[in-house]
Amino acid sequence: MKVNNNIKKGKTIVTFTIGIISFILTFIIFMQFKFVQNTDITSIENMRQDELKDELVLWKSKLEEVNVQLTETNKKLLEYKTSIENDAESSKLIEEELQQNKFLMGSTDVYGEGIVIYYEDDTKSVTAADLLNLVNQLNMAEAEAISINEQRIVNSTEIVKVDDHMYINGERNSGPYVIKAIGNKKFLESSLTGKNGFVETEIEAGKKVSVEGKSNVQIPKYDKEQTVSNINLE
Amino acid sequence: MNKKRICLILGFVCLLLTLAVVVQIRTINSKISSINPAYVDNDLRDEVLRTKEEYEEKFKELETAQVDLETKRAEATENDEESAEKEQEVKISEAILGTTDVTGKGIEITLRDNQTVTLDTLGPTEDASNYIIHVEDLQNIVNELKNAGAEAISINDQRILASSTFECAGNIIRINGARVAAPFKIKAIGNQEELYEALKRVGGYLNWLDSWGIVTKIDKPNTNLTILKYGGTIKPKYMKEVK
Repeated sequence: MKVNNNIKKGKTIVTFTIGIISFILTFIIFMQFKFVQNTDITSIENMRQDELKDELVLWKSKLEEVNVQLTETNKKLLEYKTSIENDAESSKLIEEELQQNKFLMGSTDVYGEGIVIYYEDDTKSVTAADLLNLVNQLNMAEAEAISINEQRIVNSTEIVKVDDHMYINGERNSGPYVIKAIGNKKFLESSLTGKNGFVETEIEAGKKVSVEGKSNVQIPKYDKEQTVSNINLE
Repeated sequence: MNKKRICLILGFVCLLLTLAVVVQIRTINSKISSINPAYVDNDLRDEVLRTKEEYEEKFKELETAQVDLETKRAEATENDEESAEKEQEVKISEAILGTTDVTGKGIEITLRDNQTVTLDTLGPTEDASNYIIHVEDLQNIVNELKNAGAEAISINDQRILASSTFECAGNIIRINGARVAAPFKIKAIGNQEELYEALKRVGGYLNWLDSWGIVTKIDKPNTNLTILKYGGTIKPKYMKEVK
């Protein structure tokens, strides 16, 4: 009986130990699985090296722009503060701000380096969508001012074709189109003339296009008054 | 005999488990090294995140400065009629430029890709891309809105300016460089009735999209719409004013 009891005791201990070891091992494996799963999720965030480089360049330039803007805003703020303290005329300050905004809105004649594009019908005719696409391509190449047949492209500009006539800013136009853009001349030019770029695809699509880089492009102002009547100004 | 068998089984089980653990650890190690082929990538990623964070911080700072400037400007001009008039003009120009949030009556358009088409229902010669929304569709709608006299437009909160860019980037679209995806919510402030009728008209662009089963919805809410300002800065480097 006693011997039997001892064997039984031994067996229980062994079973118990095995149980604990199994438990610990299972636990470790479980943890490992969890960890592997987690690493998988973070890998989604991964971008390739060149993508990362592009992203970095983008954010760096944005940061630079915002820093310049911040310095300018703070400078203006200080000018207003001194003007208030000294009870001085503020009309000059506000006039400067207004002029700057008008310049950005396209209400002044501007010049600078850029490109001129000659674009016309060949076997196929130029559509409004073609011109919208060209404006978009120029914007992607960071054009700062654009005009089509001397019509300045502003925020409210629409391009609509009605019976062979192209209406830009409500003014009747027709081909050939002379499109001017101010910006980095090389960048603008190469973005249009590059492989599979605008020039190549449009010539293939049956239209005539040529691009010319210029050190001085003149773009006229939008000659109507720009105002709002449905936006609330408190 | 019995004990020997138990020991053998035990040993075997232990070996198996240890093996499993070792395999797991090895997998993790190899995974980590395959995720980060070079530390350069990690450094780059850190730098992108840092720059982005710094930008967001600075942008917030700029926003506060702009609000301050507006109050100071109002304060400086309150006793001077001519300047007060100019201040109003500055406000109008900012609304046109898209550098301030604006509110007003207008319409709201929602666009969704065709929800019923699947690869099975498509004919062999049909192109699935006819049933989804493209960059050109958004450009055309923006153009129609401008034609109908919209004064401020945004697509998924990206303010549309003359210099806005529309770019196809695989499954998503980039507007002003920021990622946007369907469903698209286009807001426009202007004469509500004119905008609504112009966009809803038979033969209009939305009508045409509708015929492809793209879900288009136009609302003219009674309440004011808010259109957010452009999230970047407008800083010409090459353009100069003719004096």
